[in-house]
Formats: sequence, C-alpha cells, structure tokens
Amino acid sequence: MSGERAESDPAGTPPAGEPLAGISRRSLAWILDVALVTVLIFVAVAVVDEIFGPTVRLHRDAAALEDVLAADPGRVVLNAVLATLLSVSYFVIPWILLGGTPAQLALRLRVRGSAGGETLPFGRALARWILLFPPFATVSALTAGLPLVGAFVWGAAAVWYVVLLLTTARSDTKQGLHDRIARSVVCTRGREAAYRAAHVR
Amino acid sequence: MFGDARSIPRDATLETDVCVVGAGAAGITLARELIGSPLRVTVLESGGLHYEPETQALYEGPSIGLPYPDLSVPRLRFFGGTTNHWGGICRPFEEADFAAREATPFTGWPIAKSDVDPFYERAASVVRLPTRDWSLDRWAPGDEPAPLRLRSEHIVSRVAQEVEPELRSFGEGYQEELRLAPNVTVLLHANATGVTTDESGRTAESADVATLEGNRFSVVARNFVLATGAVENARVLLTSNAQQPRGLGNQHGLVGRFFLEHPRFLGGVIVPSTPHPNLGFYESHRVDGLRMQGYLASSKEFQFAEGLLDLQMRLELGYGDAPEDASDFARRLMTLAGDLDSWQEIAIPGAPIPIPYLDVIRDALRSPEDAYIYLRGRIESIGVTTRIEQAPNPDSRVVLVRERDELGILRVALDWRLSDVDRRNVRRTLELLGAEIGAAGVGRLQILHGEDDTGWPEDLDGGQHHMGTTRMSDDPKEGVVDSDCCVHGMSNLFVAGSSVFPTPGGATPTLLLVALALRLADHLKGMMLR
Repeated sequence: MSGERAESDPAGTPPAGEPLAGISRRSLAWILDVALVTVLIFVAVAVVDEIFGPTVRLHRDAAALEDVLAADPGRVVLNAVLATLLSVSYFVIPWILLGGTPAQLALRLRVRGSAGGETLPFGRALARWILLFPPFATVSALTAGLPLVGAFVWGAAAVWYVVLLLTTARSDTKQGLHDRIARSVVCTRGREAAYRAAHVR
Repeated sequence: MFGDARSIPRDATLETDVCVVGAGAAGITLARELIGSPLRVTVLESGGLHYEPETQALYEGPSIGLPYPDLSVPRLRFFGGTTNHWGGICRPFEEADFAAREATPFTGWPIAKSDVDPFYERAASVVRLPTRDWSLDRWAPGDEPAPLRLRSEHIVSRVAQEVEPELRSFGEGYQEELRLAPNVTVLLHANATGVTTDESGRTAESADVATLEGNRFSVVARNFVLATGAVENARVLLTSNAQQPRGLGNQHGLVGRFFLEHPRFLGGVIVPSTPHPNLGFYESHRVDGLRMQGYLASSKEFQFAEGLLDLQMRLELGYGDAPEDASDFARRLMTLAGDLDSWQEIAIPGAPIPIPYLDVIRDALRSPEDAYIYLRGRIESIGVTTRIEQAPNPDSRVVLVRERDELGILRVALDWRLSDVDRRNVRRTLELLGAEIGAAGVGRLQILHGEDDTGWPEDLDGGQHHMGTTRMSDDPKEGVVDSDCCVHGMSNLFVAGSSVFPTPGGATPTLLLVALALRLADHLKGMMLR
C-alpha cells in the first residue's frame, strides 16, 4: 500500500513524495484521538461541574418515587456545546494549522487537500470533522428518556463507522466518504519527504 | 487461661466461684465481665477452638413440628458458639417490644427497656458495632438512599446495623483476652451433662462434666450460669432430674415450652410502577463506611390497635427469570435496548466515547452496591419477605426424646408450632402494606397466601433465632427464670441467652442477649462481692 498513487481518481491526488496512509495506521490514530478528546472533554466538564455543581444527581430519596437519576436539562445542553467546541478545536484547528491531529502527527500522518496537497481550509476541515464525529453522543444525551432512541442512535453510529471503513478500504486513494466530501486525503509522511522538510530550504 | 477437660484427672472435683456453661455470645460476655474481679470463673465449653464433627453431632435432634432443619444445623458447638456463623444483624428492642399485648396471651416482660438501656450501650461495644445510633436520620443523611415516606405512619422504615464479618465471631474476637485472664479458666471439650443439686433441689452444687473420650469430673461453684442456647439450656434443665424428677425449674412444666423463632417466608410480590424504583435503602449498603440494611415494618401503634405483634419486611429486588422462549427473549432484548436510556443519562453529551460524569463515577465508587443495583437493569418484581414476631405458644416446644447422644444424655426434638395469631399478623400487615404502596405509587402488591389458607407456605423458615424455652417472668407459673435470670425455685442457678426471652420482639436477638448477659454479670458481682 505504501507508495500507492492515485492516478485514476481526479479527486484524490496525494502530494508528491507522500504515499497514501494505510487503514490500520489511520484507524489507530483515530482511536487515539478519540481517547484523547474524550479525556479532554471529561476533564473540562468535571471542572465545570465542580464549579457549578453536578449535572446529574443520583436521586436517592425514595419518597420521590422517581427513577434514581435526575439530570439538569440546561446543563446537559451546555455540556453538549462545551464538548462540541472542544472536539472541533481538537480536530479542526490542528488540521488547518498543522495538517494533522496530535495522534496523526505522532503516527506521521498528514491530512491534505486531495487537489494539490494543501492543508485543509476551515470549511472543509469542519465538514470532515462533522462526518467523522456525527453528534451521536450528543443526540443520545439530549434524547435521554425517550424509549429506544438510545439504542437506535448507537446502532446508527455503528453502521456509520462501518460505512466509513468500507468506503475507505474500497477506494484506490483510500478516501472514505468523509474524505471524498471534504476533498481530503491522508498521507504518510515518508522518510524522503521528512528529510526534505527538515533540511531543504 | 485455657485448659482441656481431657487432661483433668478422672472423678476430680474442681472448685470455682462462678461456673459458666457454654462459651457462645452470652457465656463469653459473662466471663469477660468477670475478668479482674476477685471471683474465680470456670467456663465449660463442649467443643475445642475449632469445629469438630464428633462434638457437633451432640447437637443432633429431629424436628417433629413445622419444617425445621436438624438441630445440629443452626447451631455451632465450639468456642464462640453460634457466633462463628452469625449474620451480624443488630437492632435493639423497642419499648413496646417489652410490653404486654392484651390481645396476645403470654406477652410482656417483667423488665422494661429502661432496665436494659444501660447495658445496650455496653453490648454495642461487645458485638463491635461502631455506633449506637439507629435513627433514620443517621442512616439516610444527605444524598444517601432514603426510606420510603408513605401516606400513613402505620408502615414504618427501620434500620439494622451489620457487624463486619471479620468481627462477628466471639471465639476469634475474645480468645486472647480470656487466655490472658488470670481469674478465668476456659475448659475446652468439657460437656456439661447436668447440674447436681443439694437434697432440697433448691441449690445447685456442681456441674457434671464428661468428655467424648470418657473422662468425667465435676465443677463445684457458688453460682452457675447456663449459657448454652435456647435448646440446650432447656435440655440441661430437663435432664438434671436427680432431685426434681421433672427437671430443674420445671415445677410448672414450662421448661422447653414457648419455643420462639422469627418465622420468615415470601409473603408477597410487588410489581413496581417504575423500572428502577428507588429502594436502595432497603438493600444492604454502606453509609459512611458502615454497613446497614433498611426494613419496612408495621408500626407499634398499628400493632397495638390491631392486636398484632411485630412484623418486619425485607424487600428483595428481583430481575426476572431466564427467557422462556424466543419471543420472550426478543421482548427482553427490547427491554435491554430500552435500558440504554440509563447510559444516555449518565454519559457526557458530545464525548465521542460514552463516558459518565465524574460525579456519577464518584458516586459509584462510594457506593458500588447502588450503582450495581441501578446498572444491572430494570426491576421486574420486588419480593416481600415477612419476618414475624412469633406469638408465645406453649405447644411450641423442645422435648426430650428416647435417643441418647454419645455421652448418654437424652437428645431433644423440636416441635415448632405457629398459631392463628401469627397468620393473622401476616395477612393484616400485608394488606396494609399493599394499600400504602399502592397509594404512594410504588407498585401493586400481590399477597401470595390466601385468607383462608390454614397451612404455612413451603418456604417457611426460621431466622435460626432460638428463644423462649426458659422464659422470664416474675410469676413462677408463667416463667422459668425471674427478672434476674435466676431459675425459679433455685438460689444459685442462672440462665443467660435468648432462652429467657418471653417474646421474640421485632429485632434480632443477639444484641439483647448480650445486654442481658452484661446485666446478669453485674447482678452476680453485686450479689457475690457484697
């Protein structure tokens, strides 16, 4: 797969000297990024909860005769906004400025524009984020209490990621549905390119 | 110090001031109270320091009444006695538990709660309870699981504390203290086969001791205390019949009668109104690190008004049986999918991995049982296990049978019987509970046993709380011991343990029997050190 070129797909033209990244390394980067951004969101929400009080309370007064959990709906919405902003910041800003998220950079991956190897502009980076992280979790949280919605949302999430994986695997340019729409391609920063980037002025 | 009866010279006569027969909760408590006093104390323990099948077999005895395990099952016959498998549930008797109930014969203690209260304080330390507070406020503070508040005050919540498992055995807990006590001798493998009296039959002179190996000797003392449990206390008195043919203290035929238990069985099932009813208070859980369990019970006012005794109910949350067929499985799968609502509520919105809020994690770590109760799924039914304060019944009794044990002592059988008073108590209290929880919206109660049922349910069991066989009364015609636990008609023979309870009350017996043992120890010291 290394060194593969995408001559046949006009939408996907990796930059010269940068081979297309394989699915396994991209998947690993995605998992690491998801874990990192989850920790980031968890810490941020925990700090907010420490300041303003818990969003979700275990409602233990049996006299209330209600279910055990009680969530503050306003705080749930605010948390969803906060988490979304953090997630966007984590992915979109590094894609624009650095060409990769922290995990992608660590694994020597770069997200480029498929037309000419350029870094993604804001609109396309945002589109890529939306397609990679559709708001399943947010929808799930905001629809808590509605019967079977949670199961449907997480089922849809599973199907969506299978679609992204399959479209990536079947593409000559390793462009999944999200890459095609955002007109992006993920490359491996080869040794030659890395050397040139470091030494050639 | 400890000794072994097998090494005592045959036919020897040992002398002591106080001879305590039995080293269970009552016997050990008594002996400990006398440590450091000028009195010499000898404790006769049938077993060794650990379980021995041959000794345990001395307890064997059949049940000839309502279904009950062989008498060797609920009790343990080695140092520490039955505390070696004690469940550790503690709650004190209330004032009303000591009172006479006009509608129920043979009720009422000759002492009041105020007579026992000072000893309850000390008893809590002896059983190693960290607090003496049983108030609902203490055990449901802040955001901890809280008790139901129902429409009327006829159904109330109550708290029982649980002694930590590693602290429950008196044998393990107090062995070293007794070993170091200079004035206390614990003789292991010493089976008291009877009490010998003077010719008048009014003064105990010696305890006859035998070992399974064939050694025999006697212990002469100024005072004797039987602390062998409600079955064996009666057995020792009944078989000590050299001077009094009917047995010691049995001039009115009461020894062994009025055997009491805390009968229990599944009385009803609640179909809850919500999938996760908030009933954590009624499951065993920790508050401030201390383990407790909540119960529902009929109020004392209701009991007096209705002419009933106590009835305590334990709620057991049920999660349904295995699927019966494919459609049942599918239905449950849908139910499980619906339960993802739980995760939806506790997960931070927007986080790509559904991770719970920090407060939820903290709560779960602080009280894993509650988190488990919540997350393991919806509750389909709530079992209501009823625990009855059995009404005193002279026909419920321990009787001698013809068979003899390895030591040649007549064995006993248990003829456990309940009465219509008990049946009415269950029915009436469950009817009240059903009305209360229905009105409160908790759910609907199905009472499992019909109003016209004359039998008892198949799952009827006891709490392994043996009481009443040497009941306390100031009237020798109504009791075996007086309010000082001295056997009527005897000057120096006392009984310790729950066999002196005339009624079983609404609480587990261990705390009270320890309190009464402390009270008896004070009485003996006052009497002997005058």
